Amino acid sequence: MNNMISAIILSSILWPSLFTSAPDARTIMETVYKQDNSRDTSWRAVMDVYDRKGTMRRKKFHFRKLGSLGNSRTLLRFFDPAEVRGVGLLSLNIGGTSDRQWMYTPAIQRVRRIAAQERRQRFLGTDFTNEDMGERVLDDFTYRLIGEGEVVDGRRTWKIEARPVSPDRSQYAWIYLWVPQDMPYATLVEMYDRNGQRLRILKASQLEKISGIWVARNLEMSSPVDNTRTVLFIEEVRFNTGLKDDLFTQQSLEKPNQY
Amino acid sequence: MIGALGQVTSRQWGAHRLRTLLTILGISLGVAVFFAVRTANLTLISSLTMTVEKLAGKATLQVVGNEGGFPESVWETVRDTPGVHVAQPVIEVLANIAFADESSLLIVGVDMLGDGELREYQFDEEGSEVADPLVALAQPDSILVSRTFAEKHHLSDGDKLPLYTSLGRKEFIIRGIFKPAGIGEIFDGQIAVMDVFNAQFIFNRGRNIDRIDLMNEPEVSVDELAARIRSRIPAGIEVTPPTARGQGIEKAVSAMRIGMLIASFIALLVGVFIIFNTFNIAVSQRWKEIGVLRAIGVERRNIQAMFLVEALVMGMIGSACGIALGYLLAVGAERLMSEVAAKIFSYVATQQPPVFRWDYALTSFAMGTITSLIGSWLPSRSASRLDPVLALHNIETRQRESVLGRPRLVLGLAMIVAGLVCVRYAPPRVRLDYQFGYALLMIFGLVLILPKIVQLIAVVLRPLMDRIFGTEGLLAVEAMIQSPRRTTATVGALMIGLSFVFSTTAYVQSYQRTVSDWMERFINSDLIISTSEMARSRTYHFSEELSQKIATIPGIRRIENVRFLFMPYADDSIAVVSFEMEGWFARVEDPLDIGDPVQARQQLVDGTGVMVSRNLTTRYGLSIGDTLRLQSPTRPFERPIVGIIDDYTSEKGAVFLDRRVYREYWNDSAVDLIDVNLEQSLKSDPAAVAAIRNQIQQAIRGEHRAFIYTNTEYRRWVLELIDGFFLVNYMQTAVAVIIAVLGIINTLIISIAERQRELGVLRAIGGLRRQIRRMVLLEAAVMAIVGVISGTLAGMMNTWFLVRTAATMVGGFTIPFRFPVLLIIIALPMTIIISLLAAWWPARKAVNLNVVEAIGYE
Repeated sequence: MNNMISAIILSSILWPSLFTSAPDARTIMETVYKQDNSRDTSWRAVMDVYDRKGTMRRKKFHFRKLGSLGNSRTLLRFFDPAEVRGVGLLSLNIGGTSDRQWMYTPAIQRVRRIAAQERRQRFLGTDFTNEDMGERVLDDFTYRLIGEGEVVDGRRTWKIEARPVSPDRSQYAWIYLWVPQDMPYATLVEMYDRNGQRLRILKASQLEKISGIWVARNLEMSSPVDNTRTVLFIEEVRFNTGLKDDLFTQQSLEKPNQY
Repeated sequence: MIGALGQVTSRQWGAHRLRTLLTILGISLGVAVFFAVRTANLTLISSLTMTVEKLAGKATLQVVGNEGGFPESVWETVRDTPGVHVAQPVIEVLANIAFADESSLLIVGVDMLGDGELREYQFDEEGSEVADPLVALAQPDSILVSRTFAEKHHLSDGDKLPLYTSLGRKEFIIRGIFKPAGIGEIFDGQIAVMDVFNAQFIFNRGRNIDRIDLMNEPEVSVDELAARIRSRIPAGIEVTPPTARGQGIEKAVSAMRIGMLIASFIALLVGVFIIFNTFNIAVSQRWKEIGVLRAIGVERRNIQAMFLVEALVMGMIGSACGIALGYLLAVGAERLMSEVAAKIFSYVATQQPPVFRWDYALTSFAMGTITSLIGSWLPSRSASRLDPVLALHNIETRQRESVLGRPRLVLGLAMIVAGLVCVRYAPPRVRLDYQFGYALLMIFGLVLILPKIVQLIAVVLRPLMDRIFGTEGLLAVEAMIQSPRRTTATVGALMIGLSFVFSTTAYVQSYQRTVSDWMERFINSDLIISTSEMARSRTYHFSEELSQKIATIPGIRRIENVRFLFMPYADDSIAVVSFEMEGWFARVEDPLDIGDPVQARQQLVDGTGVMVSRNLTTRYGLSIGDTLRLQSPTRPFERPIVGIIDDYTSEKGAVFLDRRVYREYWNDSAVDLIDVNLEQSLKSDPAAVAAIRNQIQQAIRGEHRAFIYTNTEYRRWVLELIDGFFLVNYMQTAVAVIIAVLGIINTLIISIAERQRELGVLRAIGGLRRQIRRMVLLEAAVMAIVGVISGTLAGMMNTWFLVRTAATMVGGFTIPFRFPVLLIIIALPMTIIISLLAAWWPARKAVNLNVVEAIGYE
């Protein structure tokens, strides 16, 4: 999928294992953001989307990313099921915005530019909204440490409240993030609207360190209001494989077998 | 005083209930038609506009091109214009489903990734969205339908929906069902949504889109943004608010509206005659009563006021009833107009109840009331001028009606001549409303000299009736001559009604005949394959692959692809018709009316010139050698006019160019008509033509929705379409005739009442009941004859106006004058029969008169 996910999944490389005293919230988040210092990333994933009746629709895709957070290019290519095989999504993220996106549909052999989206709209029917799919940068939010020591999945965490710097540019009024004190990764994220309604919950699990970078193999985004959820399972992940610039072009997007 | 006079009046109404009722009915019908036409027109425009607005969603501006659309690259430009919040491309196609009923389905192609921001889609299943949006996007067979449509065809999520597309019959998968709200309300729910890029592919639109719907950022005004976009996009593509598109539609259907409005005025005009007649007779009947009133001191102005108030009340009651009736009639009229709009213009209306507008109701009310006052003005004036001594002496001492005066005759003739001169010599550029004045001049002139015409005809009929029917025939003619006012009013109503019937028919027939001659000359392909059972489909087209497939059928010598669309030109639009000129010149003999045949052919074939219709040159003052400029979607198109032909493709004018050039400039390979030319040896063999037609049918069966016509069938079909266009006018003509018949019944009833004494005397001196009956019936027949003759005269003038002025004015066409002689021959006995039927009840009343009471009647 896209960059928000990668930002969350691929966190910092050098988590300061010991803070002499409780750090401030921004410092914690800065470390989370910077833990992934890879040049490029490749992964293969399975995405299961559950509707309110519990019906599951599964898609499999390859994901490639070149560049750093806030200045990256990504290519996502579905390969299963057959109905979506070859569908590709190319994004250019500059300055934290992902307003240049193209989609390729092999059935009509067309590349289309994707219009700037309504932030709250679901992305292709998943529980991720268009805003979630954007590549957030650290400075988009202000941070406040509001809890310390809460245990989540057996780990003591810091609870951080993030509020958007420009409230009109986000559907969320605030976001709670739980970051384990021994791991620079937000393992639980709750997103709230202006009415205080919890819109989404993101849970990261099966965390492991690959090439020195923390990776959550399993990510679950749920929407309590709609009673739907999307589960992302990363089957394979590799860093710094030497991806080339020309992979992230419209010409490349038009080649369904290229990923 | 007026109150006391009101009592007198109400007593009269009570005594002549039927006459009163018929008069009110006459006004009601006139007002009903007038109100119904305006209401139906408004409802139609509102229904069409509702479609536009619902489709536009929250869009504050729309970027629209011509029918062929414009390149999608314009979308990029618009989207990147500062101040644009969201811009979405749209394609609209009116397709047909491949179920047994082949009903229409409006398919809206939108960018499914972002359109939710602009348009309201409410999905079923408790608000859940499309089951799998990615699959819906990835598969070009994905379609979302409204629940109304799904229920009608027993479809559910995941079911297949077969549709006729430009690529042939395709099965689509329903991947979402939206509620009949928002966009789901359009076209009565017969609507589906698919991805715009899939729609481009499926409906052979290349890389073109129909329009862009957009919203401005709050900090940029709509006008400012429109100006910014205009400066960035190619010329010929307009930026308008969605409401402006509704106005465009209104303009397109204006020809239909004008025709209907004229008809409704005619209905009101006929109503004037009925009112005039009623009050004229009422005055005659109440001669003595007026004399008494005058003798006891009632002033002249009060007498006139009494009749005028009576007319006012009648007019008000009739108008009120007419508005109610008109509202009901509007439902049917709107359906009819909406069908015509869909068939002729491919506009989709969203059905809704008639729009009730108080200003329309008040205007109609005022029209009916004023009509009533106008009709009663002269009779009330003559009542007020009555000499009380003469009136009290005896009813029969009244003055001879002076309707045949020389000044009146001269004025009438002068008006007719003036009207005829205007029709003949006035330039076509004179304003539309002034031009209708020519017809009114002639009609009013005829009305003025009508008593003289009646008198002349009576002179001719008198000996004839005497010879054939004896005394009863003679008395019938005499009765008519003795009361020229009464007769004139009835005959006048009949004349107007019939003239309208004759001239409408004459116009339609002349038009059809002209079109028929034109088709004979130009449309000479052996088989013609069309995309629609109507004139054409604005949105559904064939592909060139289809015609290539057809071309392989043995026996077919040549295939010609025709593309037909409308494009903006000057402040209106014109038809752009492209086809293979080489083939056309090969089969059409001496096609040009103006232009060097050799040079024109060469330039048209190599694409360096265009041919235009004569009406286009009339409308825009163009001639050979002038440059015709059009804004094609890719770049400006400029070519000299090298040929002019008499052509009836469109009343707005047409330009013809080679298909190769069209494809190059318009970037459009769509086909609307396929002309099939057979091998020479097969042309005259109907069995061979039928066999090839069968083979074409076999080749495309189940794949394409196509209508295959032989040359003769195609021509007949076009003529039927013309008939369909004028259907509403025919119906209104029928209403005018009904009102005229009411006039006859009214007149005869009044005539019997007026002549009670005379009839009583006839009975007293030995007149048999059957003789009385015969006399009344013959009087009706004589009036019918006079009505038909005068109606023919008025109809001829009206037809001349229509073919010369109206046709040129509306379409720039030149239509030869042809009068429907056969119709008049048929109309004569028909009118006599109707008159006799109308006279049945008055005749019965006359026969059953009590002789003693009748003699004593004054």
